[in-house]
Amino acid sequence: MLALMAPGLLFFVVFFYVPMLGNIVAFEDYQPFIGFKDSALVGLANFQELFVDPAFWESVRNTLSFAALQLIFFFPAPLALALLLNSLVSSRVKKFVQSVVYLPHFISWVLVVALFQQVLGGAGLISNFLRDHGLSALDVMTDPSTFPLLITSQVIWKDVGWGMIIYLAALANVDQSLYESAAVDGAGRWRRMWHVTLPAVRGVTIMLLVLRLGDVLSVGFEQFLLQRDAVGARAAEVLDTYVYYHGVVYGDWGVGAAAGLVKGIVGALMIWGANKIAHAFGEQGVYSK
Amino acid sequence: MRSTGLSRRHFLGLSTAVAAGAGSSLLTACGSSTAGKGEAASAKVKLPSYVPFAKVTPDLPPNAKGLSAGFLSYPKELVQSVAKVPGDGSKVSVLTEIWVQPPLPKGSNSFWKQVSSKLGVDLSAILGTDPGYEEKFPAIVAGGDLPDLMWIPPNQGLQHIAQLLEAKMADITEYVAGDAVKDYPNLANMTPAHWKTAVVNGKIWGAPSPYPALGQVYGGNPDVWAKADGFSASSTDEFMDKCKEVTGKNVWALEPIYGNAVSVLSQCYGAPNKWGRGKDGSVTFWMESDAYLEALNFVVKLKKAGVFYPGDPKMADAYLKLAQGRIGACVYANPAGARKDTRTNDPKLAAEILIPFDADGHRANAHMHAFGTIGYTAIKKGSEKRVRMMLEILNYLAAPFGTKEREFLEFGVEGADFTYDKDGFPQRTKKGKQEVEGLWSGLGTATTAPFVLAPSAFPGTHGAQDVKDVYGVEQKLLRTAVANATVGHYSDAYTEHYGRLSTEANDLVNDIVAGRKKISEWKPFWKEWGPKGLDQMKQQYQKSLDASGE
Repeated sequence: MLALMAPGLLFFVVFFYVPMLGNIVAFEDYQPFIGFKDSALVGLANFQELFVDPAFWESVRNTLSFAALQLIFFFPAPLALALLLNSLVSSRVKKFVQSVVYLPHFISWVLVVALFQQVLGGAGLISNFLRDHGLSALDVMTDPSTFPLLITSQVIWKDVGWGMIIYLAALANVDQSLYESAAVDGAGRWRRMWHVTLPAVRGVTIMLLVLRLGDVLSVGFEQFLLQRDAVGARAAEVLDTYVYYHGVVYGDWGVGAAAGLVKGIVGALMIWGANKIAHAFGEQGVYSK
Repeated sequence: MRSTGLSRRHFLGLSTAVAAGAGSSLLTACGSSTAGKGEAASAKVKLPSYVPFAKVTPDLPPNAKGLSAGFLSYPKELVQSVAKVPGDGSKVSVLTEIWVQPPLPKGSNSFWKQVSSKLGVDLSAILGTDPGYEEKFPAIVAGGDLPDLMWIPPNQGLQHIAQLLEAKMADITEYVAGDAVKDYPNLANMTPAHWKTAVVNGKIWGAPSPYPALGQVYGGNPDVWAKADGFSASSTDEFMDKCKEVTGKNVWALEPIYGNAVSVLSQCYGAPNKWGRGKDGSVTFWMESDAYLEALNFVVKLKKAGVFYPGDPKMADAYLKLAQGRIGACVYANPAGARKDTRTNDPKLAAEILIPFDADGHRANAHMHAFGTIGYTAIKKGSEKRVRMMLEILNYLAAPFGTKEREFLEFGVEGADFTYDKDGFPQRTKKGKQEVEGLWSGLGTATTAPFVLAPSAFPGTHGAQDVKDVYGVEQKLLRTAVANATVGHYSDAYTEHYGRLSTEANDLVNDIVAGRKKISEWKPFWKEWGPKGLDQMKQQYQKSLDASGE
């Protein structure tokens, strides 16, 4: 039995645990040409530089606000869609809608952004139509103040169908006789949802929530990199793009790695904390004690 | 002519790696080297003698300021420029970058075999792509097994080049300095300006990789500007009026790559070419100059007038939109590149070039010279015999236009890889496109002869006219050309801080032009950057320039 686990274990060791040793970069004045071994150790200097950089805190603030918006609007969206689809009677329609809504997940961010640009951009479909009719054009693709909403709606458009699959699977497992007996007892639509459907998906929802909280500082990368210049760095810089610019572009590998490490530690703490809360509510969470 | 050298991607490859923004123009010269004590030892080196290749005479002559040679027809008799096979049959590997589709791999590429046999070596090549070279290069260096020939671009942000050169590559100074270069006649065809970019720590490290010496220009779609009497102006007011005139009905005058707009228009205000020198010898940075600020101010006005295409400053398809007539003008790497690009997208379309005008009537306008190279190809340390053989190989690759070697390298073998068209120019066959084009792109990046204008570089049937037009534009631009004062000089601080400075400055330009920040934030930004690294760059450049007596 243990032997069967070996390939999986090896995968994690080689691709996850060994690379973690690379975090030493966060404590070095690292230069790729010189290598890990010979780069000078600088202690916590990279972290000091990081914490006094206003751009870092700006990126943290942006990341948190995008994460909050995603949690409020994006997280429940797949569940809502799953409930909606689940209530359809015709399985053909259900299958068709299901395919259509999860396809965007496979479209790359480059294309998604281009698509939004073509429709909502300053020279896009809607703007051109407005301009042809003497109205002022849309500015949603370049307006930093509405950027968080734009980002969230892009995420919803792209991934709501994909996120729905796991809920649909959970819903498919609900014993139909529960609905029947609830109906016999006089429960209406809403009561059946409240007392049968939602409890059935509670475990899955909480698990996904815990995982999401652990990943809360990862709000996306390409999506922001692609639209950064359109709205400016102040509105679009998130932790991941900060790491990219400092590490790769500026050649400050140490500071970039330090920012990445901070992100990882916060993520680990969030998972741990959220899991504690899940246990407190009597749920299993991601792992049990 | 290097048919592969003028594309947008090429230009981007040179600029984005540091500035990380499509079309960002903020990068400057020669930043790759970080020689601990390199600046002091700098450019007191005897450069190779310049012996122009005389066996082929161009129809339009080049000059030392950087004017390209022009050919209006294909030479009837090709000459031989390399007498004997350069190699000794050993294995030779080269690391370089390609700007087109990769060629068929060595095993299934008959042209590759022929190149090997003509060079007299077993040639293998690691072909980097754009973008990605700045990651591939350190990976190969870190791997420890260096290729024999390595292309080193000056501005893709490669770090610690000077240490790498000193530790692993051959100092070729004694083989090429002064008249010694005459052993390699095709390399002797390079001008001192070309060689200067291959000097680090006062030593010559490789064969230069020539590229047009003209800098960024606005290229316009003539159909759009016809309405406003052509794409030219003699004052900012006229330029503004013309931009307003052509904008409307879903057509916009300019692409929204604001950094490039300020860069090109700053020429009209007489800004220095990236790094300039004051009368007292002090080094100045162009973005700090009043001229740059005035240009920025003008671009803000243009933005308010609504003449920029409403896209984002990273849009990738501006050139296509120009060909479709939705955008009036875009910034190109150089005039030949502009004409080639419009002909490629639409053979009937000939880009017009905006000649920098005098913006306020007081100052001299200027055109910013490019380096005339995109780096150099260094040779791995070895015995004198081995290094000299590499120089023979590079000499073969640098065969000028009108030689048999050049035709072979660029087009392959007649009949199989190319045929002559009705004007007598070689055109690649399907096989030639698959096998020759990509490999030529890589070898031509490593080194090639100085850039020439030839009709075959411009798709369509107006090649000879294109050569004349571009040659004429180059003449006009060269009248006001200013050079970057720091070519061939190095600053450690530049390598360390320039990536960040460039990105932050570009972000601020975008923010100011888009109206998210005020133009009054521009000066304080530079004041803040002084102690953060800019002052250090300037001091180091100045020290290096003073030491070399420039």
